[in-house]
Parts: sequence; C-alpha cells; structure tokens
Amino acid sequence: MKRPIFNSNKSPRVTFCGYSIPHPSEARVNIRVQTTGDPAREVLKDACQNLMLMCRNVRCTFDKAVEDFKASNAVKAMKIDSQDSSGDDSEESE
Amino acid sequence: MAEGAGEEKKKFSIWDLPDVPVGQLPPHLELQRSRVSCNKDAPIHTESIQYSGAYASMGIDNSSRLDRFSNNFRVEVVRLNEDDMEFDMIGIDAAIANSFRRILIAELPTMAIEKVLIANNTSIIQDEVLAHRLGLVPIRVDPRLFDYLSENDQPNEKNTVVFKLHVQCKRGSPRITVKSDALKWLPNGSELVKETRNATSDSSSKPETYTYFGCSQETIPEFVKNPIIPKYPDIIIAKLGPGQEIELEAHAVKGIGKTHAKWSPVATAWYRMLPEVVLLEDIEDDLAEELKSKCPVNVFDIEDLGKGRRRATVARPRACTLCRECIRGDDWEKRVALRRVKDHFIFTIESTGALPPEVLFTEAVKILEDKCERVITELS
Repeated sequence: MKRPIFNSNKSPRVTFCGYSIPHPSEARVNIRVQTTGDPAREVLKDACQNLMLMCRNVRCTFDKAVEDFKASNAVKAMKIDSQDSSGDDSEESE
Repeated sequence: MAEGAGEEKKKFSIWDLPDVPVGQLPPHLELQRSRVSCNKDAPIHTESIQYSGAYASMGIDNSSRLDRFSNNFRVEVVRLNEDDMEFDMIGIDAAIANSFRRILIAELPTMAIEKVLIANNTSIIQDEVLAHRLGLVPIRVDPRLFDYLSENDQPNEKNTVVFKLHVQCKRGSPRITVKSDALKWLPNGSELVKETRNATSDSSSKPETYTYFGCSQETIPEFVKNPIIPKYPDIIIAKLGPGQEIELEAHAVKGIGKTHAKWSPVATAWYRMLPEVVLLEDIEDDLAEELKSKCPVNVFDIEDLGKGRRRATVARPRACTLCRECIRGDDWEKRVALRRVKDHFIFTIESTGALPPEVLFTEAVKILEDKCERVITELS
C-alpha cells in the first residue's frame, strides 16, 4: 500500500516522494520518488524491503505478547484456584 | 567604533551553553513532534514529521532505521477473549497502523454464502431478500483451508461449502421462526440434480448435481471434530406462517471484504491514540471539585493535601473520550491540556467468529508483507 511511500520519505537518500490516484474507478497509483543521486528504483525497493522487515518484527512482537498474556492469564487462574483452596484449609484448621 | 565592536563580537552558539542537552529536541519541539494537541476548536500538530532532514539543524537524525524501530516497538495485550481483543501498539507510525486496520476490514478472506439455489419458497420473504440475508450469516470455518473459486472453476470440495435449508410450517400449527441453526452442512456436496437436456439413459452413473465433489469434506481432518456450522445459531433468517415452506441449497465461497461486506472477518476493527491529560497548573479545592464533576468518564480524582485542602489529579487518562467538557467554559483551557500520543495506538478487533482475533491480526500483517513482496518483484 502507500506505506512504502512514507517509509522511503524517512530515508536520508530521498528528497521527494509522493503518490496520487488519478481516478478512483480505476485501480492505478502514480508513485514519484526523487533521490539524491541513487537510482530511484533501488531506493523504492529498499523501502519495500524495510517495510517487510518491519512487518515481520511486528508479527514476532505481537505473537510473543499474545503468548505472554495467555500464559499470565493461565497463571492468574491457577492462583485464584489455589487461593480459594488455601482459604478453606485455614478456616478448617481454626 | 562600529568596526571595533563588530570585530570583538564572537560567534555565539546556543549549544555552547552548559545546561542545554545535546542530541535531544527542546521540549516544545518534542511536544510538536510526538503529541497531537487537542484544543477547544480543533486538534493541531496532527501530521507526523516525515522528512528525514527535519531537525538537521539541531543535529537530530529523524530518519527511521530498522534497529531503532525494533528497539522501541512494543505490544501489550489488554484483553483477549474468544471473539474480541484489545491491545496497545507502541512505537509504530500511524500509516502502518491504518494499513493494518484497512487490511483487517477489507482484505482478509472469509467464507460466506454466495449462490443460493432455491427449490421452493412460498414464504413472504422474497427470494432475493432471503438470499441476501443468508449471505450475511457468519460461518464458523477457517478460510485458509479453502481456495478461491473463479469463474472458470467448477465448484468442488476445495472451494465450496454447501448448506441445505428445508423448513416447513404445517397448516394448523403456529407460525415458526427460521433461525440460522436450521442450515445443515452437506459434506458430500450438492444434492440438487441438474436437469440435462440430452436424455442419455445412463441409470448406472450418478446424476449430475451443481457441485463436483471428489471426496466428502468430512474426511478432511480439521472438519472431523468441528463440523461447519454458522457461528451463531440464533440469527433469525425468515418467519413462516402456516402452509409456507422454504427449500433451498446455499453454496459458500471464499472472498474478501472489498467485494462485499459479507466477506469481512471482523465485526469491526478500530484504533485510537493514547490520550494524555495534563494539568498545567495546580487545581485546588472548589475548582478541583468542579473539574472532577465535569468529566463524564471520571478521568480526574481528588487527593487530600491535608489541612482540608484538596487537589485534582489525573487518575484514568486512558478512559478519556475527548468530549472536551473539561476545557469548556472560561479559563479552563489554561488549566487542562488534552493531548494524544502520536505513536501509541489502542487497537480493538472484534471478530465475527471465523478466526480468533489474534490470528486475524497476524494474517493481516502477512498480507501486507505479501503486497510488499509483489511490488519488489514487479520492480525488479
């Protein structure tokens, strides 16, 4: 999508980049990239690569966060169970 | 005399002062760069500073590098149920967050009923209305196990799921409501026989139906324990009076939300930026009580300072809905600042049931990666 445009904007090799959609009925996007000397095609490809790596990073972090959340929820559920049972024990002993 | 004064003037740089921190933006610029200030009439500083050389004169590098991104990026899950989840994404740009939201709504594939073959419909619900309603019923099946059905393909067990609906309201019995649990899954494919013009009397061969199933879908391991049914059994599809009957067969295929909203896997998916509420000056006693009562979601709290004096504090900034009640009225804008953090997004995903929400988000990220790959291969 248009994210590689913003991605390449952040690169110090790019002086100008932008996109436009000439007409909403036809699925066409005009992308313009202007660089400080490097071939523009390479810069755009690098921006896409960067975005791909970022997405992989996002996926890894997200999966780990979901796993941690599920694990901590499971621990909480066990703790609540053990608290209930220990509460009963202390009442019985007294 | 003027020349003498000019020669003695040395070049003065602000960075030479001892207490100016180098390598960081001054606080007012940092506020502009990282926070959206929500004023009484409109928010300002909403765009993210994209240009890599934006703060070059200060010696700050604004370019985004992958290592900095991976160090700063965090995900924190707040709530995770079977059908919905809420999580925070910190350190990401608004453009990527929006891409994920758009892909979740429009480009994740699902299975939904597309073709309805109606054998008999004597109810008051018209054929097309009935077909439209059936299309919107969410089906509990993993769309990744199926292929797309294009125009030239024949419907077979790899790209179609067949349901049957046969309900009858007998004369003399009360009106019945047809709910979605009346849809029965046919793992062996269509049962309606196609009428063939050439009357070849091949009584030994199987009659031709509307689908060409090679094998029964029940044999696929994922469906052995989980039969394919609509996710919610109590969706009202039609109502029948005495003597009315509906007999139809529905074929579900894979599609994406862009074509029709029935194929959208999320009830909805949205994000908001983390609210930051800052008290610009100390608000005490009566003003504090007034502030606390103004906010409809109880963002503010009163704390006791001792000697009967009370002070207002910000207790739950995350609950702020930006109703701007706290800055309405004279002078309140000088006391309370409402801001949003530009790179902290609170994402909420509500799934319709085909896939759990965390799987939906992972699939959306995968789709964005695939798109990038396609652009790269096209460019080479």
